[in-house]
This record gives sequence, C-alpha cells and structure tokens, in this order.
Amino acid sequence: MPDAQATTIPLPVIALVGNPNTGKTTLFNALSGLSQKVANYAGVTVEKKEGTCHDQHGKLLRILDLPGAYSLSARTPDEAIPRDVLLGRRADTAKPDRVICVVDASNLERNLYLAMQVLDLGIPAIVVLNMMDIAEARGMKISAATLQQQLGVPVIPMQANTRQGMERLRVAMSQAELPLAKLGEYPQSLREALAKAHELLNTGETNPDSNALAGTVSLICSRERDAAAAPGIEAARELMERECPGWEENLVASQYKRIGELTRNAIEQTRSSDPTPTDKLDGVLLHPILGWLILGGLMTALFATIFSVATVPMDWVDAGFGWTADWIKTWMAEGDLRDLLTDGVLAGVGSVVMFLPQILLLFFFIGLLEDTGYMARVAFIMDRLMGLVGLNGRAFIPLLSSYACAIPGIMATRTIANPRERLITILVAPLASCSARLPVYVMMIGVLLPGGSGGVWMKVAFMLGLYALGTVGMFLFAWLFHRRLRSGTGSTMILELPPYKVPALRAVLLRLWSRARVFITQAGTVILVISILLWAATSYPKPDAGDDTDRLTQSIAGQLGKQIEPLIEPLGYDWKMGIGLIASFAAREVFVSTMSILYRADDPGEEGTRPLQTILREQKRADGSPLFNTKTCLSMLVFYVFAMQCMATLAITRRETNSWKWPLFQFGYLTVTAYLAALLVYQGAGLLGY
Amino acid sequence: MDGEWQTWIALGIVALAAVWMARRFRGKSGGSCGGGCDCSGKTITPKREE
Repeated sequence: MPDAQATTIPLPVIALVGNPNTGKTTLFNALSGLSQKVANYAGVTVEKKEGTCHDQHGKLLRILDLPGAYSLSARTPDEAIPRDVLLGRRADTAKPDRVICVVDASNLERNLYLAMQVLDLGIPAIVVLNMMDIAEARGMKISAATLQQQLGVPVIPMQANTRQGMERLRVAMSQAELPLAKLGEYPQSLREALAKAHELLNTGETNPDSNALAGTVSLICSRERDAAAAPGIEAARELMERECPGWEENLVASQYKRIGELTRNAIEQTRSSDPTPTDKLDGVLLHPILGWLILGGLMTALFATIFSVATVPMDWVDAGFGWTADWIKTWMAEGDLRDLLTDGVLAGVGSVVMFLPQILLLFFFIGLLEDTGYMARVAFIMDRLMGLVGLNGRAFIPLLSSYACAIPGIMATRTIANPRERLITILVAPLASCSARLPVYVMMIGVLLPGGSGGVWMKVAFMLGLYALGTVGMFLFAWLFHRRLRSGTGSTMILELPPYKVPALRAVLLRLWSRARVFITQAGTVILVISILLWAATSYPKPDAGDDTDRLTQSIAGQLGKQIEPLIEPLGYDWKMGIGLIASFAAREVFVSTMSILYRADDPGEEGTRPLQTILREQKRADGSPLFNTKTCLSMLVFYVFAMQCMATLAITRRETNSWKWPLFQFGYLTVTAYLAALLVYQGAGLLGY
Repeated sequence: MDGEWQTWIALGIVALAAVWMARRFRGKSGGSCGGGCDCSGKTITPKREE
C-alpha cells in the first residue's frame, strides 16, 4: 500500500539537479508521470516540482526537480535554491537522500562543473549522461565506464526523451547503498584558509572533512543576498581575500583542471564536428545586421497576418454580439434592463472580446518562435542593445514577458541580483506594449485608416511604430535611470542557445489556451463589471425630457467628464474620451468598451448595431469638424504607448519594491510622459496642417 | 416585462457590480498573483537560458 506508506513514513527523497536545458524536467516527467505537484519555493517566484515514483522493487520514492543552475555558487535567489536544498538549509524542503546529476553529454565539460560540486558535497549520487544522441552526432564517443571508474558513482548514458537508459537508471536508484564519489582535493594553498572560513561559518567547528568544506565553498562563493546575510559569510569572504588573494579564480581553475583530466580519458572525438544546421542558421540569424533585418521582417509578417487573417473571425464575433443585441431589442420591451444588456453588457464586453482572434494569433506566433528556439536568439541580439543602456542581460526575459503582461514581467525581475538593476527593470517594464493595449491600438488605427485607405501594410507600419516607440521609450528611460541611480557594475548573464527544433504544436496550443482563458476571464469580470457601472453612470440620473445627447450630458459620467475636459482638451480629446482614460485605469482594454458604451449611447442606431469604428469616425466637434481626426487618433495612440493605465501593475510594483514610493513614481513619470508626448503630437500635427 | 421592474433589476445588477468593484479595490477578489488582476496567478519559472 504505497499511499499509506507515503502518509506515515517519510519517503526517501531523490533530487534531480543539473544545468538548464539538460533534459532534467523530461527525466522528471518520465519518472513521476502524473503524480506531480507544482508549488512555489517560499519567498521566490520559482516553481517547486515534486512527484513520486517506484523503484525496481516497488518502493515509493519522492522525486524533486530542482531549478536548473550552472554552479552551486549562486548569484540570484533562484540559483540559491539547489544549493540550499542540497545543503539542507531550506525549512520548506527536506534534504535529499540521493541526487541524480543530469548532465548534457554534448556539453560535458561545462555540465561537469556543477556535477562535481554536487558530488563533492558527499550525497550519494547517480550521474545521468543525457542527450547521448546529440553527443554522437557531434562525433563524440563518451565512455560512461571510464567516467564511472574515475568519479566512483554510477554513470548512466541516456536519452530521456525516448526513455532509452531508463531501466538502468531505475536499477541504480534501487540500490540499497550507492557508492560515494571520489573526492577532489582543494589546492594546497587554499586548504588552511578554507578550514578557517569553515570554522567561522560553523561557529568553532574545526577539522572539517572535504564534504563539509565543499558546503562552505558553495556558500562563500555565492553572491546572492540570502547567503550574504547569513552570519559569518562576509567575515569568511574577507578572511579568504586577506589570506589568499585571488582565491575564487584559483578554485575555479582547479575545478576545471579536474574536469579536464576526467574528460581527456572519457571522451574520444571520432571525427571533426561539421557545422550543424543550428550553427549554419545562427550564422545568419545572429548576424549583426542580418539578424536585425530578419527580426524586423518577422515582426512585420506577424502584424500583417494579424491584420489580414484575424479580420474574418473578428467580424464574426462582432456580428454575433450585434445580432444578439438586436435580438434582445426585438424580444424585450423597452426599459432599463434591456438598455443595460444591449448598450452596457453586450456593447462593452463585445467590443473587447472581438479582439480575441488578434491576441490569440499574436501569441500563437510568439509561441511558435519560442518553441523553435528563435526567442533565445532574439535575447542574444537584444542583449547588445540592453548593455548599451545599462540594462542587465537578465532583464530580457522580464521585459519580453511584459509584452504579454507587465505583471508576470515584473515578478520575473526577481532573477536579477543587483537591486538597482532590478528596480530599473521594474520601472520600465510597463513601457513594453502589453496585449491589453492591442485592442486600443487596433481600434484607433482602424478609425485612423478606414478599410480602403492605406491598406494592411500601412496599418502594419503603424502597429510596428507603436511597439517600436514603446521599446525606444523603455530603453531611453532605462538609460536615464541607470545614470541617475548609478547601478554600478552590471552582473553578467549566461545565455545558452538551444538547437533549433520543429515546434511542438501541442505545447504552443496549450500556452495559447492559457492566454485565451486569461483574456476571457478578464472580459467576463473586470470589463463586464466596468461596463455595467459605466452604463449606470451614463444612464442616471434620468432627465425629465430631452434626447439621447441631453440624457448623456446630464448623467453622472457626463457631468464628471465635463469637469475634466479642460485638462484633456489640449490633447484633442472630448469628455467622453476623458471618461475612457479614467475607466481604463482598471484595465487598458476598458477604453474600447467605454468608447463603445459612450458613443453608442447617443447613436441613433436606426439601421441596427453599427461597427464602433464607423460610429467614431462620424463623431463631430462643436464646430462641425471630425472629432477623431488624424491628430486626435495619433495623440491617443501615443498616450496609450506611454501611459500607466493599469492598477494591477501598480499593485505588483508596490509588492515587489515593498514601498509606495516607487509605484507612485512609476505612475507619475509615465503619466507625465504620456501627457506631454500626446500634447506634442496633437499640437505638432496641428502646426503641420493635419 | 414592465418598465419599472426592469429599472429595479438593472439597479440591483449595478449595485452588485459596485460591490464587486469595491471588494476588488480592497484586494478581496481578483487573480491569485496578488496584483489584483485576473491573471491565472501561475507563477513563472525564469529561464536564464532563453
């Protein structure tokens, strides 16, 4: 009865440890199957994956998939997790009884660096040589037996993705006693100082064995904040600096010397490795000029597809909502509930849901690019640019995530070790044009360039320009903050470029479904509720007499809008757009639903429900000129590129910076920038005669 | 449906929406990411290699 066993006796824990991209998670999935649980390590945004499996004798084991790391010398909180779990320093995770070190056989030298650090800790271990097929394709013949003989622990060649070698691994896992690794020696010149450092860290514990010394080394070589805060670490580092200047370099060099000796005997290069298809592709895609051109071309193709292909399903959704509204109008008697359903709920929610096909297409393409391995190349290309403005290479992933939504982007900044670099990344993340801006962009571009005029390519150029403007703003402000905050010497990022592969459609579609669910939930909650409230604000109090325009002007929204109108008039906006700006602080997409509710409210609508963009194009100012002219549309687009219209982002900045100072600063600088940029565009375009 | 009844039902729905919004502002509803948004709340594992 394994389940009963699980609840009464603590199960033996086996941890999977290895570099990122070594197939560790594939192996974890193969071992644990559906018995996985995903939680979070306390205090960090890193997944804690646990599962159970049976060994060859049917004994139940707990499997822990530790986050990938290149070394036990942690630089960031997420890198510290494998180190702390292996040293038994985490209260939320049991110290593993055994370790499976997963190494990428095609990158043996680099992967053995971490593996040897783990073996030195003295935990019974098995080394899995994964991706043997890739190593063979590169002309490498690896002798697992030689490695096993030299390391002293079981070494199992595997291909986790095809489950080759799984049986041998399970047999090794079933051994009652695993042999301990043959220990490496630290350089003679460092041993005495390391022993003193160990004594400092462990309050007087003298004569440490080599395993204990390895633990001390992993702690004093770490730079992440938790380790630095641990008692004695700074003192131990100072002692090492004083007694053995250059001790860290010395340690790294001795480790690589050991690895060199190991691999010299275990690897035979059977033929010179020809450039792989990945190498050849990288020659083009990472080219300093061609790389940028191809990236630009891909983005153009992406937006062109969005504008051309997505219009068909968008028209269906729009027509569906319009038909439902017309049906309700014919079925229900006139009254407030009917108005709420048609002019509030359906007009508001429908106007946003209509953009779902475009958002899904955008994420489908991004998913495809990620899965092929191209996104890692984009990180490489962008890294050069990011370095110029003082952004850390690690900021790329948070900033890239921010193009979907700034919230996960800001949460992902926890991987940036330098607190000032992290703060800069948080401050500029909302400048990435998130998916919530897409409906606003598409609607305004549609008003600016009606179907016939300009065509798809003009719309694509506008869309690319808006994304580029946000990105340039992001880099510009990062550079300004970098100079102002003096973020000091930047920390480095190791960027691994995985081989290109055919994307797995299932994984892409799963991610797409997750994105669609988020969007539909947003439409079904925030946008629905705001649409209801906004309808009420535009419908009450009811005037005794008068037409639709009178009713709207005398409503709560009308009166509030008139109050703020003088402030936004210089940007070319009327009071209805002002209400839209305020309402969209809850979520940017709400601007579209607000426009739909406010401008439909006084639309005669004699010919049934008309497209919103048509209604907007027909709006007139008091002097009879079009309200949504070129300069107003441009001004509104530029406003949304820069504006901080998202209360959820403010809340997450408050949480991540643990103060109100930074979210308020973020809101202030982005709102002022948006206002000034919109003012400049509107007034400038006016001077140019638009 | 009678016009007056429609008004009362509509006002009831509006009141419910206002309560929901007020709770949201006070952080008692919304996504599990803690930001008050409707994200799935799924935390992300930063991948250095990308």
